[in-house]
Amino acid sequence: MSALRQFALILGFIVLSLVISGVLYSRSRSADFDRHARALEAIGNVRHLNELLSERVLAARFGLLNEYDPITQTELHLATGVTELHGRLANVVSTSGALEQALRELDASAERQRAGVEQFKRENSVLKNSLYYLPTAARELAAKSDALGAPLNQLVEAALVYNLVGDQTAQTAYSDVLASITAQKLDVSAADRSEFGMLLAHARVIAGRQPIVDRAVKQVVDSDVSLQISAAERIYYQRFGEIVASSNWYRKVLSAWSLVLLLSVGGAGFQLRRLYSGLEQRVALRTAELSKALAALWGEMKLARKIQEALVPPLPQILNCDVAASMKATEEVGGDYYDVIHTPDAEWILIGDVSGHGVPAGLIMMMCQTAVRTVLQSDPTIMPDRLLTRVNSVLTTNIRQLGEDKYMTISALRRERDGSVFFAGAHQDIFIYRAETQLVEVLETHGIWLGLKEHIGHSLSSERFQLAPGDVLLLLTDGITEAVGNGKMFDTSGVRRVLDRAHGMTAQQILGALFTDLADFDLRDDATVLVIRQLGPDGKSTAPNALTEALSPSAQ
Amino acid sequence: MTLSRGRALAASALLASLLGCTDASKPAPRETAPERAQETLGREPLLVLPELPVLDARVVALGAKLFHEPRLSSDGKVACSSCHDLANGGADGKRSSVGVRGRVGAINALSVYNSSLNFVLFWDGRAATLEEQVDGPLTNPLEMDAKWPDVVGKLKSDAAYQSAFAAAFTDGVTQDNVRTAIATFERTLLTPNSPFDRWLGGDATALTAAQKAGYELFKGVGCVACHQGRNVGGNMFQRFGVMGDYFGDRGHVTEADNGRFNVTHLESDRFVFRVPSLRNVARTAPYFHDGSAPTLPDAVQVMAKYQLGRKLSDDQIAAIVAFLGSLSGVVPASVQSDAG
Repeated sequence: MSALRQFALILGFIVLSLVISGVLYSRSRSADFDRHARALEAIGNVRHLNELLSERVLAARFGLLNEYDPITQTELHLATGVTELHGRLANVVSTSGALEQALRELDASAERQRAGVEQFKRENSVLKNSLYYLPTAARELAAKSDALGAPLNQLVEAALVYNLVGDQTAQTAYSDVLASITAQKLDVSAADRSEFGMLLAHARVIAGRQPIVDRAVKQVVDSDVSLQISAAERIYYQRFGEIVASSNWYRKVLSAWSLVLLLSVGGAGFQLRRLYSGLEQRVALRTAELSKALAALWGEMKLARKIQEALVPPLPQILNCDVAASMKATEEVGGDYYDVIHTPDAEWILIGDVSGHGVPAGLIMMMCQTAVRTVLQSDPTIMPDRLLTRVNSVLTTNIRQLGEDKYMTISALRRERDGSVFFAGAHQDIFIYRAETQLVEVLETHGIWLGLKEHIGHSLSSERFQLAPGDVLLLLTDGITEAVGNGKMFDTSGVRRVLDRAHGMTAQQILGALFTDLADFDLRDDATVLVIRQLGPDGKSTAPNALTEALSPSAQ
Repeated sequence: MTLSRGRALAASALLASLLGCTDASKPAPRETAPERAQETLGREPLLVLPELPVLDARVVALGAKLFHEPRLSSDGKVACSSCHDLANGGADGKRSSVGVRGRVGAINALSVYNSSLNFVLFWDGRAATLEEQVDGPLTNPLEMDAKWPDVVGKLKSDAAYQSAFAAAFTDGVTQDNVRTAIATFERTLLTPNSPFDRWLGGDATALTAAQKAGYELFKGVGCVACHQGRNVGGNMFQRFGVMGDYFGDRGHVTEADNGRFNVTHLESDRFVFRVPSLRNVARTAPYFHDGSAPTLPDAVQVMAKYQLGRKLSDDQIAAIVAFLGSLSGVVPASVQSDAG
């Protein structure tokens, strides 16, 4: 299995593990004990308020509470508490089904209890009023009539006993006394009849209302609110217990899963470490291979550079000329070549460029130089076109033997002692600064590249120009004109701009000016420049006007 | 379970803990029964008005503006304050209130002062909260005759209201926020520092001798059986005509006379009304749900006859009326300009 696949599998496993852990964790937290505590608080609150309500109703019934605000407020709090209980339970467990039914019954019980409380307040007020009034009215009437004293005292006494004891015997006794007084034809004066009638009305109120009040008290005290709370609580506990059990199960699974996860993470870590160490080894191996290849490459580059350095003359000299030369090789080492060769009656200047880079280019350069020197040694009077024809013959054969697909551009210039120069071979343009006119001439080179075909004599011809004292001949390779800066090439125009300023400058100064202008340009290939300033016979640059004589129609 | 078991429970509870009560306390901290008994034993059946609650001033200000806003009604002429005149005891002094386009309502307007202390709202107790109560007069065709979408629309089209609602609520102009604002304002309408409250607070000189005598009569003849607690009423229902047939004697029973029956449809609730508060009662004539008693002495006399089953002498009535006068408190500073 590939390392990438293994890594993807491990990553997938981690993501899946996290998802499973998240699900297990959320399930294990489904029992919310904070909310459970609040639900229990709500249950306790309703239970407490229910008891408090009963307590307060009883207190009001027996005269220990002389106003109803506490009862009313407890009623309201209880109603609010029951409503709140619904929400608190629903926050913890599902309140559907049996619990919903239990809560509905609790609501109904609370409602019935509240109706009982309202009836109690209403009827108890009436009863109390009559209970307060009866003794007063009886006392006032008894004061007016002796005959009324005994029966009314009996009535009051029975009423008070009934109110205090309230059992069936007391109720019967009171009813009997009231019936007896009503049936008797008591001696009541006409003036007191109204008051007597009022007393009997209150006595009847007591007889009628006390059972109602007691029933209302019973309705409140015996309310099944407490039972309904217990029923709801029981179902709630059962449901919460189920949640806790489920939560505990998930906790156990989560614990086991955590253990598995821990082991898996350890295993994955080990596996990753193995993968990592394998990768490390492979990286080390590849690095070593690359280093080796790089070393070999660098070795080749060094060789190519050495060939190039060995071929080009370090300080070329030409009779009666001020010469400066420069060859800037790129890291890869291109195929630039130049040479200056002295024969008994002339100086040869060669400049060229082998296609490609490195050692093969260097070898071809070497062959070229050897061929040139051999031909010149055997025939010092040869003209440039013939020289290149013979060199090409040798080169083409050797390049084929070498199995390289190479060719070479080259211009060969033969400078006579009188300053006339013959040249042939296709390479870069030849630049000549004319000291007299301070103008720059550019001569195109014609011919065919060497190494492409064996016989090229018909394609070559020698041309001629003359250098006068002060004139500057500038030869170069395409590394100069094809240098790029700010998106533009240096081009022949860049060379012209340098030569335009060449008046009074030495060859080295011109060379310096050229590379100053090239400072902002990027040299992408080997760049070779040869600057030859013709001196006068006395070694000075001033000289009579020079003429350029073309031996062919293309000469300028 | 039998009645005797209820009594046994009562007796054991009483003996064990000397039951008594304070305000219906919040669940925690819970007082023990003896603590409650100590606080309440020997206490007067009428209590001092509670402190003004701490409320959001922005909501209160908005509620006050809405309370006085006639544009809430369909004809743009009737505001809450039209019938609950803060300068007139929080009521309108009429037997029945006059609503939009001169329509006469079916019932006497209750005072808005101290209404937050009532356990339910309206004569028939059909609203449980002040918020719920707002809908009653606002949508009643005989009162403001408004429709909520119109009310909300009018308020939304008013830049000043929009800004006031935005300052008071996060969700701007809504029905609920209108209700909340008005109810919150009404919660500020307490009238503390009445002579009677000061007397309860320990100022023995706050009541005149006649008022003190009236208070004793108020308790002695049984008024206090229904008119008790901090609001001197407002915490229970009672039938009008306990000791006599008030409606038979008055004649021409109207739907409004049915009282609580109109809400519960229980025969036992016919002619049953929420006991009104007697605070500021001297400022809120005429009296009863039908406005049939033009003066306080008239009202006391009717109550004595039909509720207490007693005849009271003129002196007794005068004393009770004197006491009732001591229940007039100080209107809040924020509405004193109204109250003039």
